[in-house]
Amino acid sequence: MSWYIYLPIAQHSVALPIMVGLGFVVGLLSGMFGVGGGFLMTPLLIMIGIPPTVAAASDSNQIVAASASGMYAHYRLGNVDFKMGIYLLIGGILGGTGGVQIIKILKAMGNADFLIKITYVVMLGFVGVYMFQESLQALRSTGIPKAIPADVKDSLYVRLMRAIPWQTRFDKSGIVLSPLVPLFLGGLMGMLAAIMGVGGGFIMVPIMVYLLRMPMHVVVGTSLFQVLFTCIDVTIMQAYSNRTVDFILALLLLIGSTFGAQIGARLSTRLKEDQLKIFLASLVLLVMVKMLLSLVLTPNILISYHGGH
Amino acid sequence: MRRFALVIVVCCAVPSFAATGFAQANAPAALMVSPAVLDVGMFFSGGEVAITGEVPVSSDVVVEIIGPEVNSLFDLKGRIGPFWLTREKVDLDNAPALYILLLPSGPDWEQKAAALNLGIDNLKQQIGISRSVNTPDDIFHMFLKLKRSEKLYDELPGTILYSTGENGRRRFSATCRLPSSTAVGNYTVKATIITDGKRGAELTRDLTVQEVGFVEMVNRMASKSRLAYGIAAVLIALFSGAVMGLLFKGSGGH
Repeated sequence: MSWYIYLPIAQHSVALPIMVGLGFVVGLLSGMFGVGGGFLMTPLLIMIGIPPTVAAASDSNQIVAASASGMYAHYRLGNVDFKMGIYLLIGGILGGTGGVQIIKILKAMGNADFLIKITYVVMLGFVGVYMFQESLQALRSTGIPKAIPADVKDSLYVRLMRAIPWQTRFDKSGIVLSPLVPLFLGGLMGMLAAIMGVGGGFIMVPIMVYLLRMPMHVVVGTSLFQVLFTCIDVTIMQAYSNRTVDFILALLLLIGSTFGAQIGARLSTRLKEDQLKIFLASLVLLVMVKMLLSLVLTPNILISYHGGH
Repeated sequence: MRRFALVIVVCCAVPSFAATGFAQANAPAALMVSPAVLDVGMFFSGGEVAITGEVPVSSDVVVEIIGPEVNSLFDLKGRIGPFWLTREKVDLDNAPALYILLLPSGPDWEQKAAALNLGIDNLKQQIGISRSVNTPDDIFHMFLKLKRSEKLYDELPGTILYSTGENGRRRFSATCRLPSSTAVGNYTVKATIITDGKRGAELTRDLTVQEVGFVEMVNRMASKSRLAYGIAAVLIALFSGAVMGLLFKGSGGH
């Protein structure tokens, strides 16, 4: 039996244990820290030689599989705010479609890989530094968490949110908000999904909690709803416009990540959370630095195939 | 009288046998490529090609594996601010997708081949480069570096092995592993006979690299029915997610 498998769209032969192992490691981290692994998966795929456009598009495809069962479980528990989810989704589809077209234009110009990498550098840098600081503060603190101020009525943010027209009540979440806000945020997530191949849960969840003030039990289900359908849209658009979705690659990653996530979830209960978060933050920053260096250091080879392989 | 006749027969027969042997030893060379068709299937990780043949006893042979022209447009990177970005496109015409030169053992065969206009550096004469004012002079060497890094361009000294063939001819054999990034298409295996340091006859055989089975089906669908492929990829992902969800009782993962 061959340990290699040929990826038809990437036109690249990969070692089966490496691909499943990569999925496993990312799934393990995902399970340990409760974050989606998309933001780590695509850069790692790029590092092992998968063309960035194929890595990002195939990762979106993998996220469809990974988020489907989770979303269904939350739907059955009644944890999905469909009204909010639909607005996020409309924005996500518009943003995702726009992002795919941006990739198409930049692919023709030869700079799609640059956009994917630089977006990752910015996002990983932001997430990594934030996680590192938060974990460090938690380690240094006395262990008593600071309460989030409940009364924020007079803040500039609240006044700004109320000034946006077409205020609507979202019953499930128990908040009043202009639909323009989730439309805009969904659009932003959709664009990131197309460019980076991520679901966007790692950005969407904190936004829903801290900015939209949605209750936590609704946040995860609604985020998964938006992630699932945005990634379905991005997968179809990437396949149609850029021919970059390799579903074999997505399946290999899914197998590894599902098993990894199970073990990670069990491990997370036995390990110290803040130390683990610092480890994850360091890993994220390391990947970011590696990608940044690949953009600023003189490349070994100055020419590449136009539009990727 | 009978003894005289016998001597005449022997005298005629010996040179004639010798001439026949000499003629066979210098008869036109033969070339065989196995397999003639290389299949790129689900578990393809590169393919081995065996090349065998016979040449006149006093000759050597050099073998080239030459690929089709599949992609002639390249992105050339340049520094813009702190970053390396694509600054222009360069068109390289008549550049083979793959070029592998197989050489016999010997310390100076690379130089000998170059002197006979064989080898990677010689490709410069056949490749046309569309230049702009910004195109660097060493674009050809950048191109070679890219191809060498992918193992698509290579010179392999000592890969041609000789043995004694039938009728005193020289039998040669070589094996070459084509990398997994070998593009589909029609390749040419060309054996050039070298006699007394000069290029002699050339023999060519076709080698086809083709996608088969599942790989061919996926690529055909992804190219010709893009929307259907995208929808199929989503449905497969949803089905796989559901299976994984059932296996782990809905604790799936994003």
